[in-house]
Amino acid sequence: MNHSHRVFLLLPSLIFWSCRAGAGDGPKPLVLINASEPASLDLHQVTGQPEIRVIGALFEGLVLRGLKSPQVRPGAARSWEVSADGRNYTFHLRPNHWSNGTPLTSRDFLASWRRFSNPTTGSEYSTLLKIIHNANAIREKKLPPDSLGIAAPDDSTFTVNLDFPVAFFLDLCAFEPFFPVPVDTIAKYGDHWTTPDHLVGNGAFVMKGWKRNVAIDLEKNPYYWDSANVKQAKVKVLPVEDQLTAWNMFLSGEADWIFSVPTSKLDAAKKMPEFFNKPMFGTYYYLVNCKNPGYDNANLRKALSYAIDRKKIVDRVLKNINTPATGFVPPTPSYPGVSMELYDPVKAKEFLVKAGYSAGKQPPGLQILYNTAESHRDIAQVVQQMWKETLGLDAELVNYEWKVYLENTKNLNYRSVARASWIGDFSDPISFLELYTTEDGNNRAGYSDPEYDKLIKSTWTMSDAGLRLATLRQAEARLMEGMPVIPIYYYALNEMRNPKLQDADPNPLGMYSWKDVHLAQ
Amino acid sequence: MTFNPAYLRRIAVRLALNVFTLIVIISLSFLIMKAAPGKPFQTERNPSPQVLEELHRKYDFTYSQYLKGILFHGDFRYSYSHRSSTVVEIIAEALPVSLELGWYALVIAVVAGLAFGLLSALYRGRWFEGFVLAFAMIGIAVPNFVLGSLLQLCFSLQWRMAPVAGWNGIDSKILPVLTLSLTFIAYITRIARGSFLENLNKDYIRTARAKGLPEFRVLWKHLLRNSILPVINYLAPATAYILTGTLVVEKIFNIPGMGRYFIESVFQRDFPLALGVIIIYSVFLLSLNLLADIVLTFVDPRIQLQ
Amino acid sequence: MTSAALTAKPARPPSPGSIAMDKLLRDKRAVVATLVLIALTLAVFIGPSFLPHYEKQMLETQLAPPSLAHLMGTDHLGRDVLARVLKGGQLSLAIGLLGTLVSMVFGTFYGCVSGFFHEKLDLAMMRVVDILYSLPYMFLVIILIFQFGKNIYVLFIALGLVQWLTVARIVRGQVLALKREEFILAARTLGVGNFRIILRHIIPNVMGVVVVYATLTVPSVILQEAFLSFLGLNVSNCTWGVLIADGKDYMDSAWWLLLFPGLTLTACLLCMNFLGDSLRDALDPTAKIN
Repeated sequence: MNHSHRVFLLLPSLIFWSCRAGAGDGPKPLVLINASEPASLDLHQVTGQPEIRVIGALFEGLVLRGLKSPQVRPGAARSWEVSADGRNYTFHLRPNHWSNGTPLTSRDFLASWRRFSNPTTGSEYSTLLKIIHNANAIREKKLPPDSLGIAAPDDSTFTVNLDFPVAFFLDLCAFEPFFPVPVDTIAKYGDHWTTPDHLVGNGAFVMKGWKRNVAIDLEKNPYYWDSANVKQAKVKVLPVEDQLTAWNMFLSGEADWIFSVPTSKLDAAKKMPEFFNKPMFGTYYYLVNCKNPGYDNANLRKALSYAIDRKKIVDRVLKNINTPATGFVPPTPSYPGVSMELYDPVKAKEFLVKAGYSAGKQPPGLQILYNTAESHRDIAQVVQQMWKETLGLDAELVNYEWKVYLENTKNLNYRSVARASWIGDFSDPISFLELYTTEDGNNRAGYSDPEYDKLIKSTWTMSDAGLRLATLRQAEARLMEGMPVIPIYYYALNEMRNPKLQDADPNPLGMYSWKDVHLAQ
Repeated sequence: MTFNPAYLRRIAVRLALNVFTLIVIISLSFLIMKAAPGKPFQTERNPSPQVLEELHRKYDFTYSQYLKGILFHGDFRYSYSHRSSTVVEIIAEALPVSLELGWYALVIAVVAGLAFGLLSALYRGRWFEGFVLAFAMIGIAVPNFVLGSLLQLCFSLQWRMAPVAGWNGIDSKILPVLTLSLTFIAYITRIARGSFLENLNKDYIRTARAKGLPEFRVLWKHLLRNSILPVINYLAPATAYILTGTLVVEKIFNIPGMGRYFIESVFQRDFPLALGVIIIYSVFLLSLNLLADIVLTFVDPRIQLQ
Repeated sequence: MTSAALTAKPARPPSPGSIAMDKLLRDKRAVVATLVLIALTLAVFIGPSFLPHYEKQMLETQLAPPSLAHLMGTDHLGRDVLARVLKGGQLSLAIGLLGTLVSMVFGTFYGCVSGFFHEKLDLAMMRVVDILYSLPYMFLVIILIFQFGKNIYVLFIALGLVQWLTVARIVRGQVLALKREEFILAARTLGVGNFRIILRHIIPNVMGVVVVYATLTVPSVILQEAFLSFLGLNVSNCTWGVLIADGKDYMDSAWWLLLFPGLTLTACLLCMNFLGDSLRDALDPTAKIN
């Protein structure tokens, strides 16, 4: 009796164990967790991190991101030259193949970039092309896509004609939307070209299977030009939306690599050797609606900003994994940017008085609008208390879910303050500073400063890199004077990694070089 | 009770009414979705007006186009948020998973609920009854997202008996099914216990026992058959609630079922997908209600199909 | 069932209401549940004034375990958990009660009208109920919250809108049975107007069923609020649902964040369920007093 009782208790765990065995054929794949299922793998249709992460493994651009240094490395192009005025690039392609064995030539790049620029493709990133000759006219449907300033004089040469001599053009070439797409396959299968049966790429990996919301299976691409140096044989990408589930999967060994750590687990994570933390080219900030009465006054905006103790937020709410903001653009080695102390309660009170709010007078409708997320809520609550304690102002918290938040901030349909964030598309300060020029489509503060616009505009035509960066710095300082944005902290990558993971250094944008990433055997 | 023409005709009328209901539901959902604030193609990086125009040209549809597409071509259109897939493809992958999850949970809930209900009714006043009642109460009061996380913490992280997430092989299915079914085990236990207690005191049970019929036969043939009505009545609403429960369970255990689309599609303003999901759920609920009513007429011949 | 109670009529019978009350008072479980609920309600509405403000952050004492200074510890922003549990109770109870009230009032009215008047009207009105029943209701709630923003009134209405369906069905069934009772027919022949009949005779008679159903609806509305909080559709930053949904993330590191709101919620729901069960027994004339 007693004995059978014990067997009965053991039975469930026996079933568990017997089911778990037998899942080990071939080399162990690298299992990484994507925050969501890729919406598409058509690199001209996507904007999100989860999509770009997979696309980066399946395709390769003319150049590759540096592994240990910020400089780009040769990719599909063996070498390149830049004309003296910085406006003409000539790329020399190496012999490349698509993953189905057909050769990849400069004509593929030609067709791909034309597709990218074509407004009927509907690529949301196509505004990035604007530095290339005629791209703006093509987007506005004034010229056909084949008038884009690019050419393929022969199979191995690809030339680009820029309107502006920008130094970050090569960084753009290493960015996924600038990668080539298999135009023949697309012509054949239309919208279904990204299924595992049809997808053809030129990256270090090929897609073996894609089961929606289950996994994307990647395998080393034998046709890849540098496949001899690709050390990881298999990669498995799992879409897991719940951060806590992803964290648990890492702890249980079901995943080797997760790209976010839930705030509630940061204390524990920081003590673990698997924790990986690195500053990133992104800023978390508050927008002020400069079009609304009261908030059109820079003094009030500055009062609000100087009253926020960023160090305390970073220390206490974010567990010190981020850096308090000292300007709008996150500092990089090439651009140290504006670095000023943004917290000063004395100054905050002075500015509030200057703005005309003394003796308990409240600015009209002070709100913090944020999109629904626990971390945004926590920060908003802390800021709310700081404004109360330092300035005596009562702010109301309003939260909207993502799409409503986007719509309201885009249409400047918010009372006063809204949470925002920006991660640079390429590691140049312009990708931040351009946002608050009067005409920019992403200027969600309604900010307009002709002097600032002029400064930013002048940088486009500067071929002297030093002068250009100095001008950008000047512009950033001016932005901090106007304070349409209240920077709070700079983003950082917070990951958990299997200690065996190697050559997985991210660039400042948080992108990896997929051909190098591997698990040590 | 059996399939006489009148009975079949009633079923046909119910079916026709269901189709009508479904069309009303589609229209209603369409209206509500269109009125909801937020645009489907709005992203953090503002797309240019030309791109937006292109996307709308490709994906937009009107009410009549949509209804015609569904009724005559079975075309639920392309999803907005999974751009290279049609709604039919997405649902075809996800529905079986949710059905499997829901089915296991329902079966376990009914079997365990009836067993607990019967035992607690038979052993009235003993410690076992107290235990069952406490369990039933806790099952009702503990939100399933807490339960799911707790099970994950204990069984997956502490004792390493089951994987945290996924839906392949029994080991990955036990925790989610348990999480989903617990509330319903509790509800069915309560309902069944009440019904069993009521019937145990009835004369026919006493008569059957007095006749010397074996206890098992008494319970099986007489008691169960007469007491099961409230449980069957509860099944249709239970299934509807289980469908909602899958939202939570699928999120916590990362199961590739329909539940995630239910929320996600509305959040993303993926109108075609949201409508598709609503239609599937509604068809399911409507058929289930009809089925429950049909089953009832078999269990209790006095009940008529309306 | 109900007619059975009316058969024996001595000279001055105790009213059905007082019988029920009598039964209820003798039911220990019901008395305890009521006392606990009253205590909880008082604590929830009076307690916060003796405690630190529920939003007051003390970032120096984050995640402090329960102590004399903070009986239920502090949360990740250093706020007093006891104060939050009580404040959250205000909102959760308000949501539960008002959501239920909305659905009961509307459902009763709808059910009465549907059951009382012409058969064709009944058919049409019940069809509407059927249609709404087949609509995945969570979808309705979510869209309403999207449409009108996250405020507490939207939630009352959204949850109330969902719950009224069952009430309407139950009430309609009762009304259909009552309609053929003699006292209604008598009132009719006396020329009493329809709405007066509904108000004076029908509604008092269906009240019992509605009250029983209401005590079971309150906990379910509170739980649904918790469910919405888990999905990030919370209407406030401090309800039991929010506290539990947040606390679950700290299950392994700061147990007090989940345990205390969880226990309070469970206690509240259990008492309401007990009370509901006892009320049902008390109002059921066939049930014996034990």
